Amino acid sequence: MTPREKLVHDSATVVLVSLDCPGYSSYATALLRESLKADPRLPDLRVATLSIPAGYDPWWLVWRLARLQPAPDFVCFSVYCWNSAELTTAARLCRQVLPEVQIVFGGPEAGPQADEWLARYPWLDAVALAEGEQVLPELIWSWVRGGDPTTIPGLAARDHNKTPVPATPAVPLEPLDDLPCAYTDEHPPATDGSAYLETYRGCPHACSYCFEGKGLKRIRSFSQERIAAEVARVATTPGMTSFSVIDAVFNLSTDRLERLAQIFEPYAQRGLRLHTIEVDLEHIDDHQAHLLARCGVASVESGPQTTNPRALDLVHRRFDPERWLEGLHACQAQGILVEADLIIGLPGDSPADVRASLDFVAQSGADILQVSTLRVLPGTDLWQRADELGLRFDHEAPHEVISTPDITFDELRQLETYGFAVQKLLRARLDAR
Amino acid sequence: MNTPFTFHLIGLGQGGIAACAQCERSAGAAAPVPRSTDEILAELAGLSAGAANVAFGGFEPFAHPDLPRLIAAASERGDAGLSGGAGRLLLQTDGGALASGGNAEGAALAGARVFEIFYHAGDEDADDALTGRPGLARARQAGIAALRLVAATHPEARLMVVGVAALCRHGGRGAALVPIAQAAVRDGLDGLRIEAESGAAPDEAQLASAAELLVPAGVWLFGDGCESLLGGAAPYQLARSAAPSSQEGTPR
Repeated sequence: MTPREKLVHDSATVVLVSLDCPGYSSYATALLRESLKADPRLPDLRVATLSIPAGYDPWWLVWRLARLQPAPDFVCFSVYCWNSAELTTAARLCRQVLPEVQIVFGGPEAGPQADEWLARYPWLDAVALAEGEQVLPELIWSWVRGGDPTTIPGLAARDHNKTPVPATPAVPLEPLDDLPCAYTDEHPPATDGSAYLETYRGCPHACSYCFEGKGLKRIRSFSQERIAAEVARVATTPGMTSFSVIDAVFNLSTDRLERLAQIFEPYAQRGLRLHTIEVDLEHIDDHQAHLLARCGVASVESGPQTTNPRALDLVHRRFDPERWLEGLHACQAQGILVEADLIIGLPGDSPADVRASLDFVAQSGADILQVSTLRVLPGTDLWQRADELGLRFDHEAPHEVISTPDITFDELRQLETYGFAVQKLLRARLDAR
Repeated sequence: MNTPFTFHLIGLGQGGIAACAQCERSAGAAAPVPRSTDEILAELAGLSAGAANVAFGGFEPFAHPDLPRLIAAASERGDAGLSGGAGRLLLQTDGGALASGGNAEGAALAGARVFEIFYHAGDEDADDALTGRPGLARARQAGIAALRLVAATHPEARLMVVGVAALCRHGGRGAALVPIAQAAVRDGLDGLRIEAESGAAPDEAQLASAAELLVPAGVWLFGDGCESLLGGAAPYQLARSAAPSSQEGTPR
């Protein structure tokens, strides 16, 4: 029985697969689930999620899929650079174990390579380039009614002859308030600190290594009323003590931060805490730090990624060391932990520059240092300019840099180990919270 | 040398940390003598506010009668929000006493965050023979395991365990580095610092062989003779007091 026949006679089943870090479950998958369930054209559609811990053997993942009852008709994978190898293996096996199933990829690793992947992987039926909440219901609807999925904007799919058809551009999903809430009575948020809440999509910055903006130039925000309703739902979940917010710059403006403080403060006063909030540290003065504290922010995360002006310029990023330090101290004065992030292997950085950045953060008094190696991610400016900048990187995920004009492969590996030593030593402070 | 962190080394006394017995005889080292607590506390109090990180060395800390009081004093000072952030406390030890009597847990929970533990040879019997302390190498290994257990059971005590490869002419000079590096990987250290007497630093081939073992295991190698590793990048350095006590231990 085809998915279409199943939908007519009974119901088709969609399974949303995510590989998640231990203790976390995918917020993106939850949003997809609720978007499918909310589509009035698909009232009988069964939607299941399969959250698998990262590092899980793909063969066992497929074993889990094959045992599902009812059997899946559509299997959708959220693909990131860090789970791409496992999920592409799982999907390839899935095609052989469940030959009738339709396989769909989405996520930041698959989307920007949609056309290429569809041509490369014969077992893949479609790849979402645009936002999944928009594309996936359209795709399922198209399949169950026997339509042509290749006409759906933002989707690379196969035509009736199984020929790959490239994606056409999609209009960004708007207004965001049209999206259903990720959390429901049936699927409440986790209360162990792993829950997320989304306030807007996009990023005001255009850092060359980052895919946060997903190629879109502007920010789309949920309404204040919607944010307030979601915060109330999450914050009043019995046992909830802390969660995080998906928001590229929480302190985008003081006005907005004041509005957020009005929303969060009543819950913060009852002890609710927000952790790992992304901020522009340079914009934080005493007033903004006070507003963050009123929101219940317990920890913030900020660059500088590098302190080297040449590298900053090449990746279209700004950094003012004095204001960064002022922001750090303003946060710490409010009892807010500050995590500083550095990237090893940015274009324009030499080993000495990386060491200077490590010295700067170590001496800054930041509470936590997070060192990572550059990944040249699909869809980013660096992916486009890699040749021009002389960046050599692994084209297979997770796309780590191999060498730059200023840092050899050998030096990169050494810098990683040295960076982790500094990271560990910074955290070994007496007042570490 | 430009390093992210500087630890101000305060001597706890003279001797007591297991070292090469032949080197000690040659140097005419006297019996271990702890420094007076008041003198140590006075030196600690005299450090500038910017000297946030303190190391206790020169004498086996677990043999000092007032160690808990000294750690408490250094911790209170380091936790006081000094300029440049809160401080860190490093203990230099031969590791032999760490596994005894809850020493590892006690020191870590009291505030010691970084432990420097001395190695003289990679092979345990050779190490014991050099120090003249039978059983010390195995006790050291048990002590490091005790620290790992503390780190696992008390994640708030964020520990860093660094080996010190003490290289001398009696221990084979730089040739001892590779076996020590193997032991460092086996023991799960976070770093390995080379402290070599004059003429005992590793040559380039010895350094390269050790780095090939350590760097992939996440153990950074630094100290004497390591200039070819990122220009001698060291996560920290030890700064001796400008006016060391007459009782400060002999260099290791």
